[in-house]
Formats: sequence, structure tokens, C-alpha cells
Amino acid sequence: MPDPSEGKYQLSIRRRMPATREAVFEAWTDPHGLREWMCPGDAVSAEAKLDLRVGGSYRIVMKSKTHDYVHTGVYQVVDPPSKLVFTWTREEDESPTLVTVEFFAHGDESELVLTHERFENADVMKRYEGGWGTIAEKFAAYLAKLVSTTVARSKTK
Amino acid sequence: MPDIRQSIQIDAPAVKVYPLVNSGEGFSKWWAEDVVLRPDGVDLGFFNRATVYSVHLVRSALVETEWLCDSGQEWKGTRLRFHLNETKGQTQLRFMHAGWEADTDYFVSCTTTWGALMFRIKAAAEGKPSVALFSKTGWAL
Repeated sequence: MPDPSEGKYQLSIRRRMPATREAVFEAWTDPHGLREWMCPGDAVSAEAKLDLRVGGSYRIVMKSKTHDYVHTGVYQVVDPPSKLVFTWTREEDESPTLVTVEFFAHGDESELVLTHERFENADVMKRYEGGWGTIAEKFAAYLAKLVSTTVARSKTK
Repeated sequence: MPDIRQSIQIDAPAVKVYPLVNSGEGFSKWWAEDVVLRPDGVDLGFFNRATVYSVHLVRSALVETEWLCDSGQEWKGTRLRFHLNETKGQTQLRFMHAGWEADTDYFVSCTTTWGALMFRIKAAAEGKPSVALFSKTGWAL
């Protein structure tokens, strides 16, 4: 939606997640796990290098069968297990945007709220809205697998 | 208030069933081809969008997913619950469409439809050929 104060666009998505917010934060910042779920659109896998500290940078490459989509940025807020803020720049795009990810506790579940702002173009914003929605669904399925594995291990002990 | 209840045994672990009942992408594999993700939920379109059901997640645990229905004359305020109980790699899916206002003809027809949908979930989770029961324009029978 348009932000009249800046004349730019932002999106916000929210989704329930099948794990505690501590587990969700940990999974969101795990570069190994990320390759399974940071895959919107035609992306089938991802690679990531994360320097998870304020001022640290990251590089995420979403890989489709024909193209690599490179994203880079710098962490501005790292507040486990409740909040991350980082700049976001796609290689082909001109201006950096800003992503805030918040994690809210709901017992043994949690809610993830992702806000992506400072878009120059509404069409690009809408494209990202669909992309983040897909990522959130894949992330939930990934978390369910982690939960399942943890439960299975606890039963064998 | 009447509830619709279904149960089916699936030859797949719960993690295979979970994404099918917990996401719009999953719905598109057995329920409706016309699925659009919203910022806080999912829209399912039927019969060229003559009917659109909007739902959002209120519970998202591996053992139980619950969606609250935000639209639909008789669906608004009802809840879709998918309970997964895994034993030795097999999953018992117990489904409930809860909170109907009345035992109407539409309630009964939805009971029939949910029964058919359970078999589509089972096929999709077991990796067998399956498409959504509803195409964008009608039934995909």
C-alpha cells in the first residue's frame, strides 16, 4: 500500500508457525536450512552466507533451473528471538529496500510478521508480496519437519 | 451447531500431510486450482470465482492445523481443523468443519464434498497422481 509520508510502497505478511519463536528465529537465521525454504517463484534451492550481527552483511542466492537471483544486504537490528531488520537489494534492482521480521510467541507456536518497505514501484511490491507468501509457507513446512525430527529423537531416548 | 467430521488413514508420515493442509500451495494440489495467497491468509476461488472462500490460520502446529473462514454465506465463522496423528510412518487424518449455524442442504452437500477431498489429500500425500477437485471453472471430475 502507498505510504504517504515517503511516497513509496510497503507490504506486510503474517503467518502462524509450528514452533516456538526461539526455534523459528534460529531456523530463520540458519544458512543451511535456508536453502530448503527461501525459494519463491521458480527457485528450487538457495545458498546463503549470513554474518548475523548489527552491521554484518548477508548474501542469498535463490537458484532456479535457469537463473540465479542474488540478494544482498546489511543487518540493522539483530534482537533474538524477537526481531530482525536488514536492508535488501536484488542484484538487478536499483534501490535498496528494508525488511523487518518480527517473531511473536503463541505458546508452542509463534507468529511471523514480515514487513518489506521502501519500494519505488507498486508492481514490484506486489511481486514480492507473493514471493514472501510462498517463502512463509515453505518455511512453515520446513519447521514442521524440524519439529517432527525433534519429537522422533525424544521418543527414542 | 452441527459439525462435519471425516477421518482417513494415509500411508505417509505427518510431515508429508502437513504442507497439504497448512498452505495455499498445498490446497491447490487437492482442493481448488484457483488459490491466491493473501498477506494474512488464502483465497480459494470456485466456479470462475462466483464463490470465494477466504481463510486464515489460527493454529499451525504439526499435530493440528486450524483455519478460520472469513467469507461465504454459510462458511463465515466456521473452522477447518486437520488433526494429524502419526504412528509408524502412517498418519490418521481427522478432519472437522466446525461451527455451522444449521443443518442445511448445503451443509449436507459439503459433507459429501469433504469426503471426496479426503481421498485427494491421501493420494497427494502418498505421491499418487492427484489434481484439485475443483478446477478454476468447475469440478475436475
